[in-house]
Amino acid sequence: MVNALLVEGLSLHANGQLLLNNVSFELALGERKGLIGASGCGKSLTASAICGLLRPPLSIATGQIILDGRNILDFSKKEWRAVRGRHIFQIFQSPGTALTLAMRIGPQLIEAAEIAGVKNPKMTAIKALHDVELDENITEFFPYQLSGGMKQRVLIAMALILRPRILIADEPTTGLDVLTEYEILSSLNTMIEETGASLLFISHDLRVVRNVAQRTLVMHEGQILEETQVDMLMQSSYKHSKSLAKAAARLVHSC
Amino acid sequence: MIKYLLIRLASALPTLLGMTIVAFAIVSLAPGDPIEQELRAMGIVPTIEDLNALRAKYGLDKPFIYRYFDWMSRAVQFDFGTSIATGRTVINELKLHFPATFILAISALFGTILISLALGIAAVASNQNIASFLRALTVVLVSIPSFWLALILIYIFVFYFGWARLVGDGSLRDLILPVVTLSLGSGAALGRVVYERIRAEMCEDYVRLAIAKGVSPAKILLRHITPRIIGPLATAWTNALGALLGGAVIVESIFGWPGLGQLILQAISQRDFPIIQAYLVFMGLGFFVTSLIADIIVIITDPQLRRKNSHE
Repeated sequence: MVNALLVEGLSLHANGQLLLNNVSFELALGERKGLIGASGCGKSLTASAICGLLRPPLSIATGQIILDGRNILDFSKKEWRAVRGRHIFQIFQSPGTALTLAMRIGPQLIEAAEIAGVKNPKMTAIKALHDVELDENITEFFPYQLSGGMKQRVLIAMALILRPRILIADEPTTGLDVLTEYEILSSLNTMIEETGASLLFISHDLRVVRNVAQRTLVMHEGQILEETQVDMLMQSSYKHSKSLAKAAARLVHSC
Repeated sequence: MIKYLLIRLASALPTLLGMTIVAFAIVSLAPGDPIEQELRAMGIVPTIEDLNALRAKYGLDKPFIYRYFDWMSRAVQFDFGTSIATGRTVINELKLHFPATFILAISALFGTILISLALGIAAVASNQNIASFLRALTVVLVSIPSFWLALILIYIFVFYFGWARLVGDGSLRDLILPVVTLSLGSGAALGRVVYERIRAEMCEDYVRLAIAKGVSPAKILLRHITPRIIGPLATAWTNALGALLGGAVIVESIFGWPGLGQLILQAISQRDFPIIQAYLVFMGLGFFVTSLIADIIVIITDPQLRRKNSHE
């Protein structure tokens, strides 16, 4: 399979403390892969490093992130801007704070459409809203007028407009009720099917990961422990992977 | 919005009333007799009878409370009495000098806004070395007293280059040095506020999303960050206008700018109570109006507040 993204030996530190330790994995074209682990294990940091969103004091110590045969860690600011959005895009954990509060939804989507270089940005924005089952009058709304689920779907609509080759979804269903969670995952699946993008789905909830990906990376204290089938986690030789699978199973039974 | 403005005006009434009491009390309870001082300045050695008669004429022989209410009842009609020094009405004196101070303060405010934006944005956009230099420059500019800065500017631009004149006629050309003097210090101080505000917003998720989309830094600043920070910055800028009006007193007298500064310094030295009282009241009103403008800008730039106020 052809790699869409290759992360090799990525280590990251802040104020002398090692936060990511020799993280390596690959994502094939059109592949959907989970990245699971307990809170604070380094999942979001990995996503930020891939999207070039790290801020001081966080800095990359070693490693490379290969996209189209080039190490994006060597990119200039201009090259990063050309890659972001159209090649790699990330949707964030908190849709409530991810959208610009003082800007209507329409201009925020149109801005994405302009970056994507589409012919009719407004129509593209409206079509993307329809694809994630949102009404077009949403374009006139400010983010505070939408529910958490609607905001997350706006972000997925943004991804639909940008049509990135790699989408990183960082816990997109956290804090949402199960119905909204289902709608978000459906919208995400629609987006991935429509664009053929590779997906790195970050979550601490195995149940949610199972809905979008068959394989997953397991992270623990800044390290990738293993890459495995989601359904095989229970049989993992790693204690931490097993405990994640057991905890998820217990939650399903207790519901 | 109209309802908000009415509520805001009504809630400001006690503040304005308190301000008039303070303005009247500070001046009335200050040591020194303006009547005696004025007569002595004219070369007249007054008798007790003369002083009593003149005090009675200006109402200075009555109790404080009586004098305050008498003064207030006239002040609400913009009648602040007559200047003890010149014999002209206080309103006419203010009308004569206020436009020059207003032009100076507004120009200095624009200068402050421009300098603060330039320094703040440059510090955010530049590398660590340039940012450190700008921080040091800011500290220097904030630390220099305005009268000292004025003297340095006079030395450089009047005596060394000869680009400006020391005694002007109040033309716009003569406005440049006083405006620069007033703007540099406050612009540098507020540049720090602009820098901190932008830096704080840059850590927010919505900026990270804009970066992740591939939006250019200039567009992120203009489209995404500016609407978020313009309200708090407008508050800081309009508050600076009050300080600029206060600072104008010194700067006007150094540069010979014919504004309220000259008038008030003269009034203080001559114990010209009606002028001082009216000046304090108008400065207080100035603060009130500018803070009201800042509040309106905050509402206009915040969609949630805007909607709330348009629905009320």
